[in-house]
Amino acid sequence: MKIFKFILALVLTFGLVYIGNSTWMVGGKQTPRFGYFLSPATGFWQNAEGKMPDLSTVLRNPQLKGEVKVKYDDRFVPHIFAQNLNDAYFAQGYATASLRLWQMEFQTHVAAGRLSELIGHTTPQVIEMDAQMRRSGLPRAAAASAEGWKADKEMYAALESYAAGVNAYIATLSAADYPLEYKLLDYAPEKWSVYKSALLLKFMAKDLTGRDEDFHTTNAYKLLGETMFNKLYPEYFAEQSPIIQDSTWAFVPVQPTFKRDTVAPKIIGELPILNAPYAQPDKGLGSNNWAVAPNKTADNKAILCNDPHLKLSLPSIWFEIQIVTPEFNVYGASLPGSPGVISGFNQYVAWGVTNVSHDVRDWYTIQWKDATKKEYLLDSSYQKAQHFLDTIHIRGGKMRVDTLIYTHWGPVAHSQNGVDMSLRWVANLPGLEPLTFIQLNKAKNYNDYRKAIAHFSCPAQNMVFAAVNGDIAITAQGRLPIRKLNQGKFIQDGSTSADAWTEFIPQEQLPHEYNPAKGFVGSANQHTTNPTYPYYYYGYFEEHRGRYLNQKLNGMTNISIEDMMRLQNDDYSVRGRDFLPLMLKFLRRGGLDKDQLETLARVEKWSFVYDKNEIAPVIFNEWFNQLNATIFDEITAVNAKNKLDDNSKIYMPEEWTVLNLLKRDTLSPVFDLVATTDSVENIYAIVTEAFRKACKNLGKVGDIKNWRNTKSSNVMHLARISPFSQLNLDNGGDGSALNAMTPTNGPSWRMIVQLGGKAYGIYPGGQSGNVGSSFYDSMLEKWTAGQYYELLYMKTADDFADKILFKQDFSK
Amino acid sequence: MKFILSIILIIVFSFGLMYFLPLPWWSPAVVAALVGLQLRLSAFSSFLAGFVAGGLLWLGHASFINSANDGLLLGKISAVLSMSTTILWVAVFGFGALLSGFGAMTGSLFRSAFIGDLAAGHRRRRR
Repeated sequence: MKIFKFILALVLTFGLVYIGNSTWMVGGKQTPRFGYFLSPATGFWQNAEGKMPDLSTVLRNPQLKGEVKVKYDDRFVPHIFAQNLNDAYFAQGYATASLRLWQMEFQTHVAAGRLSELIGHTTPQVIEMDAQMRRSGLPRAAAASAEGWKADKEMYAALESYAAGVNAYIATLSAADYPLEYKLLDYAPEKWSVYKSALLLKFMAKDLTGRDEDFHTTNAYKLLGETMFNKLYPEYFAEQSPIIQDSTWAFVPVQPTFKRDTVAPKIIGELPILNAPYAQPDKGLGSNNWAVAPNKTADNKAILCNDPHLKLSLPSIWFEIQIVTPEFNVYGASLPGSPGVISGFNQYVAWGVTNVSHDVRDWYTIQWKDATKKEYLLDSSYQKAQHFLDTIHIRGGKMRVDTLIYTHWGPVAHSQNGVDMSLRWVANLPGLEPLTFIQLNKAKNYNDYRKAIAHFSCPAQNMVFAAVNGDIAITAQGRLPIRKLNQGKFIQDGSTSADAWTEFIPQEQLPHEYNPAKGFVGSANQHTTNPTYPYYYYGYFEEHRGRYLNQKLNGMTNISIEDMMRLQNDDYSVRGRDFLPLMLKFLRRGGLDKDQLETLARVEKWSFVYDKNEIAPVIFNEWFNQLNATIFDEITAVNAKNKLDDNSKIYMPEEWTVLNLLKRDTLSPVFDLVATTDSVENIYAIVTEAFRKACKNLGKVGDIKNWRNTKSSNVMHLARISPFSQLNLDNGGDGSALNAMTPTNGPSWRMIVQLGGKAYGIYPGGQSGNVGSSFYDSMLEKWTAGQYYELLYMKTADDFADKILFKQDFSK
Repeated sequence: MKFILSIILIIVFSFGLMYFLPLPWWSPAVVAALVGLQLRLSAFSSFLAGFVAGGLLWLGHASFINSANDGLLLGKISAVLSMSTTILWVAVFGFGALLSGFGAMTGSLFRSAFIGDLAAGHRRRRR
């Protein structure tokens, strides 16, 4: 009996431990292990930080050569003081991991196509996402890049030191110390490696060069016909204001005839209506950067500004850091997972990045010899394809095995109606991107800058530069293919090498400017050059911001740091200035009712500023969208007739096509509505009709939400966990304004550096990736309000002692 | 007296050990079992002592952390788990209480099943 009672008690105890130590499926979601998760000694409570957390530590590691001091300031920015480069990167790895470990690993799991291992059993969509990622070639490309990096000893040592630092931090962790997301999803961190740094950089490359409209464009060409296509989708327009405005090119182009050789889209007729393999990443992954020469500034010192616009997330995409060695003293924004500073400054120079936005992703149809897909036709002979078995492990024990097939074009990443297509993508080629930043971090002058950036291949970046000596420069840096006219815009014939591009634009011939007479350089994802540039390119450009930036910088003199802050936060839109006066001009007011006239009165007074409190930008946007849809009802009709969806539809023409029509082609037949066969509509009718529709959608003036609540920008948690996100930010801005806020994207790091003076910066989040820390989103409010922090640029480890919260000491 | 001592020992050792060592979350059950084994309370008293000790330990420790954190994380976790904070507190108390309660009871019953009689025999003989 006593034994029975004992056994009963034992069963109860073990039962409770078993229940508390298991995950359960509730409503299709997996719960955490509740015993572990709720325990104050191991669970989420351990991630709840006090107001002034103290992460001071003393670490000994045989990897280190000397002593390293890391001081954390009152914004949680680590300032690293090391005696050599590798020790510094070790400390960067350790410090970054101690605040951002989950994010580092999660992003690289996405890039490696390994999300299934974490949530594949509850969220089967990720299995297909993983398969896509692997078919696109990115994980294998990262592995090849990491392998190639071994050839450069300095860079590889830096990456290995960084990885050792991350792993030294992971080694200190027990299950109670894991970042919260590990506890929620119930898994454990794995070791960091150089390969993971490569994955991160490939992930960024995918983010910034992932958009390709090739399938949509091919459908457009096929369904609209060549004449209509060329009319609706021109690449240049009169108002354009490219990054580099010169028309003189002091070089002899290689393959000079290429630009004139049109590639006939000859196979388009044979192709079915195409579906892109996945939804296109958002447009608007853009950025601004500029530098002004000393003679344009109030203090006679060059100023450099950068604000990369990326998908805003928590934990934040950027991590502020200062790294000091006897060789250099660099401060700026780093990417968790990659050594060095990406956008920042040192004693001598400053630099920043924006996306070049040229298309570097092309698709080629493959003609297989037979169903085994072992050989494919190229010119007149058969070439061997490579096959690799690839296993996706799904949490819960299941697996999915795919065969990855590679042709010389690249991976077979899409297949439709029996047609396989290979992806030729510059992001899949090995690159030396980390070397660029390692060298920029210690650059002293323009020549160092030019040497450093030459290693950078993808994603191509407009690298802006300024130096203490007053030099300013910008380069469209990256491996940009030398294309024939229209080459790569449409799906191409992979059975002929005539459709291949084989070379990249030589480094010296990439568009660049050095101390131009205008006294500034700048970029905002617009066209790189005017059409006189000797090489053909096309891409996904945003022209409004660039036009405004060039106009403003041209007009400004005696520039102060505050002027630059205002410019970065400027909500003025050239789109409004272009279109609203024209739309008002063509509006027929007779026949509008009282409510419509009231709406009109509000939008008429608009100052073209996407102000958060105004309703005028809401009215304008709705009217403008209706105008586009009404003018291009032909396209909507074709899309509907062919049942084209988001992955296949013909895109609306660029806004500059609309501008051209309203300004210079008001009699165009495109204004006639296709639905009304018995009447011919003109521009007046269309603009007025669009206004009526807009009024109908918007309701009365009193019912229209202000711009902030209409736009409703969110900073989402990386795993899209809503309570860990910040919703409906209290700000204005628009993708067409320098303050390029969209519902999901925006200035992810605003930096202003006065060379030889002060530096300012801020980003929408906080240094800590821990949801339970007050430093998780501590900068967001100030960022939303357009304010900045002065960056604490320490010269010695003992500077600013009153601002230091705690320190970490490392030695061997 | 033994009852109070039992509560104090369970709290002190559970907290102390887990503070210094990376032990699993269920360690308090083992601590409570050992205390239950040593202190020779009845099975029910052992359970009660463990229940009170474990519950207080989890609730107290969590409250201490929560107040230092200003409740920042608690609100977010309650939203993620779609549980009110009250239910969350009850769950924290309940897990801690039952874990140590069952543990202490198991320890006590182990004694009476395998050692208890022997010890009692010694005592009898001495008398």
